[in-house]
Amino acid sequence: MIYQPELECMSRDELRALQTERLKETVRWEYDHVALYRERMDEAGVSPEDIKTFDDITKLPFTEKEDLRKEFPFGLLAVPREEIVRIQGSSGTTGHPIVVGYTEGDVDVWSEMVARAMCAAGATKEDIVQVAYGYGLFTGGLGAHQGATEIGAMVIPMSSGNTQRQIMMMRELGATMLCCTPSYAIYLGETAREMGLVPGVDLKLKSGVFGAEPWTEEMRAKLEDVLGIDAYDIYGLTEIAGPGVAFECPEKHGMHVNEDHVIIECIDPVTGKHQPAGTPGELVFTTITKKGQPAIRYRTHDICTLDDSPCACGRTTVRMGRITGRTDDMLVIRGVNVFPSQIESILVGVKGASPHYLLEVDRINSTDALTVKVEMAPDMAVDAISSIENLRNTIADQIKSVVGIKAKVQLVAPKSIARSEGKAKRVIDKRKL
Amino acid sequence: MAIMSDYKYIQQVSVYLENKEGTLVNLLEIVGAKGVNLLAMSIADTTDFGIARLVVATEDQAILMEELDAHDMFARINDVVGIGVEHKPGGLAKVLATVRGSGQQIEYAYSIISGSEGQAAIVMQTSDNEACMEALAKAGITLLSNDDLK
Ligand SMILES: [Zn+2]
Repeated sequence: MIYQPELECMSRDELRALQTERLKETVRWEYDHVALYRERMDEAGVSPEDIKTFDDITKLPFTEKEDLRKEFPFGLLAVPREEIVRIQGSSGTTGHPIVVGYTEGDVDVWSEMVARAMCAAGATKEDIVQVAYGYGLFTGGLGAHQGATEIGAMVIPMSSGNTQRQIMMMRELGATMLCCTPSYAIYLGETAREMGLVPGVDLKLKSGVFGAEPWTEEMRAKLEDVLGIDAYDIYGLTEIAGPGVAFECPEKHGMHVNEDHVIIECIDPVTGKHQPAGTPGELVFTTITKKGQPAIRYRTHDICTLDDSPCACGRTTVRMGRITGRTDDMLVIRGVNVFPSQIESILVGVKGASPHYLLEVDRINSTDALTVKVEMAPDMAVDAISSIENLRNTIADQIKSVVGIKAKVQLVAPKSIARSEGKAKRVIDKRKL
Repeated sequence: MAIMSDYKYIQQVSVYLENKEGTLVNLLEIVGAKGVNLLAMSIADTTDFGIARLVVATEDQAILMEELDAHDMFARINDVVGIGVEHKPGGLAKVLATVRGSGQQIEYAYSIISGSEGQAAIVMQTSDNEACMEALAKAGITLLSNDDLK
């Protein structure tokens, strides 16, 4: 189902024209109302009048998360503080927190984006949507909540955690859709099965919208199997709106970007130039309908590939692939770029291993050493030394051939690596400590 | 590996030991705290990890598995061959000859602390436990289950 076909399916030319108009307005708005943008543009020698065509966006300077930290809390507001009705922000696990202010209209824009995602996943007024993302400054909980509310579905605002209670409510209230992180969804499914519940019989879930952490096709297969549902990916970031910036349609072949609200660019992280179509690069977003705290050319540091070929679902918006890494989470080990997602895709293909892992990097005798802790699959036979050694060697060999570095593989008991209910912690880099 | 055998066999609990200091001590504490009596134990060790193999009374098995799970220790139950060996010269030799005669290889074996009266007892994992037990039974060698070990 398509929530707003008139906006999601317009011709590329119409869309470009709409984006260009909105871009011009946004740049003017920001220049007039936010000192930082005005100073940056003046430094770059570009004025709002210079933005005439869509491609003129490349004349504009980039912004970074660091700018939000420096201008904390209200330095980037483009409206008087009293026009702001909501603050969302980062969970603040590292460094200084960031916050983003929303006007009432900005909250509506965000809700509309999430509603499109929910609708694409089959949500209607009839649905009962369990939101198991955390509620709070983190945009997951409230974002999913508002999107489902926009559609008129019934929301169960569980927030994250308390797994037994989640499953009890899911069963008793007959939740038909689930919104949470994919790793927590798998955990919920595993726990429900351990409790003796049969999805499809005891649980009424039919689909779910999952995001806030990178995941793989293999994880999707596992999630869909363990919960007996259709699983859809959703992408977003607080600095731009929250979840809903992009979402999957039933084709499940990339996430449609809500291009009438944001402009997406894919750049070479080093040169800043646009990547040719189909080449991975860093995603850069510009909001073109927000008023409270718009973002111009915000660098996400997420690495991904764009696809503007037509989609069978009828939407004309560009699709982004899965995030395959982070320019700043990317580990450089002995000079080799390592993305945690590479390790994950290896593990899902190895029998006896599970895709739950932890990378530990340390510097021993001035050489980087990578240890990969991997949970064994619950059905792994632990009686024979040889089968455990084979499993360990298989994983180590594949890491060597796929990633290109030698790693020490340590097998650990199933479920012994902490499952976070927000973002999964995959890396411990002791070199920085 | 469940045998569903016609013969008596021993169920053992295999526990994966990460090479962390104290995992073995931890394991023994878990067993002890629940008052579970170990009838037999062996440790297989490599530089990186180990496997502890435990034999307990049938009624203690579920308690043990539950406790191990609660302490995030990875354990599986598997079926192995239990043999009563007469306390006299050549008792063990006869067993080994029979196993060899049946064409099976012994992957590991360890002795049981409390055998039945007048007998020592050993636990054995072979390349084909069922075939091995058939040969042992034919040779008149006593096969044991957990319940014979109290
Ligand atoms: Zn589509």
